[in-house]
Amino acid sequence: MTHEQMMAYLYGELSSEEQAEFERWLEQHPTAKAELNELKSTRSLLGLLEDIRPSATTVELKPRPLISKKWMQWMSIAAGLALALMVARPQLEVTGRGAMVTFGSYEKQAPSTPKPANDDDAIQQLVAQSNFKIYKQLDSIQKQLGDKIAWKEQTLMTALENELNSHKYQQQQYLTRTVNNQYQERIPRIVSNVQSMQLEQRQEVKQMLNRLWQEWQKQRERDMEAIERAILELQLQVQEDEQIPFEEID
Amino acid sequence: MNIESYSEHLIGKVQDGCDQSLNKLFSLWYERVYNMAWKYFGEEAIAMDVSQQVFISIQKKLPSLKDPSKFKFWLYRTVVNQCHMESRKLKSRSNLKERITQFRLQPMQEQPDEIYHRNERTKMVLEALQEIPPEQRAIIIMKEYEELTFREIAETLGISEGTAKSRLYYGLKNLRKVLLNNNITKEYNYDA
Repeated sequence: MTHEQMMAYLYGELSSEEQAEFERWLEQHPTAKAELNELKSTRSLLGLLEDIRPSATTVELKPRPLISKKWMQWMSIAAGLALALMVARPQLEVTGRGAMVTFGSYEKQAPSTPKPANDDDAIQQLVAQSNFKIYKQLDSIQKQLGDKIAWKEQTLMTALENELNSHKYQQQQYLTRTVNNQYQERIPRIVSNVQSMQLEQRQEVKQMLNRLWQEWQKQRERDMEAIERAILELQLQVQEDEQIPFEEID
Repeated sequence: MNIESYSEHLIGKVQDGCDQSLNKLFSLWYERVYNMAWKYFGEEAIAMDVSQQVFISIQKKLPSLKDPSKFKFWLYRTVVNQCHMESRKLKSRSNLKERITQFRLQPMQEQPDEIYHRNERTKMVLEALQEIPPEQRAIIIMKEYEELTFREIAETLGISEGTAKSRLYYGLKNLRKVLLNNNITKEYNYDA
């Protein structure tokens, strides 16, 4: 039999057959039986140690990131999608036959220009063409302006958000630091309290000893006086006794 | 729902970013962790420090825990590792002795005889535990107080069942030696 089997038996982790076999073996080996009993007694001593209730249950944790990992993943997907949409510029057109999504920059098609029949027509055509050019330019200027404004708004919002987040983070950092400091400060305070308590106690003991010594001295003096008095009385008594004539005793 | 399956449920929520569940999970296990550390060091101040460190480490690593059903063993392994680490740190600073002396300086209250003797014996058992090698101490704590099976201890510490059993055997033997030196076992000899 090995230590391992003995441990498994001690903690009831043998199967019923193994256990019976171990017990039979144990009957034939008194030394092992004695050892087992020693182990059992050690175990029962360990049983004296009961759980205690924690004196404090504050767990001081590090600040979590403001945005969780999962959210970051979602946000990056969303940002990617938005970027793709901006680049691809999809357009949705609903017609009587159905809807169509197109990608790429949308350009108005130039109206078909029929061949001029005469000068008037030629002039009108020129005017129409220049008008169309002007409209086109206006359109692109408007678009550029819109893009610029949107971009500015976007950067402003991002800056604001960043500012807010950094404030929040600083606040959390500050809180953690404060709690940390308080905790760190606690230990030296307790130690100094204990030390000052010890000093006080020592002084008290000193004073008590002094008082005791003085009391004892006084008592000793009183006792010495009493002893002297008693001796004196005894001497007087003896002298008196000596003066009594013998006849009177008889 | 037992404590382990409830923990599993909470871990799922924590991994989804729920802070409240993290608090619940910690308060569920705090007392166990604290008591393990207390028995390991015999001192509440260190037990508090170690529990703190354990939960900080758990918070950091919990999002990447793959098998929440093994949380208990993972937690216990973290506690034992943290205890060994702290013990090495204390030894290197060699202020363990100072701390123990401070611990013993506590004023004794007057108590009825029996309670007094029982408390004295409890204190001696706690002190004796500190005198045996840390690896053996950790196994005694997990077996006697956390009631893990040898298979669970082996899994928790990444050792074989045989090693766990033999560490426990020598741990109990050493403990008995220390207790005998301190004259405490006399009245506790077990009569079979």
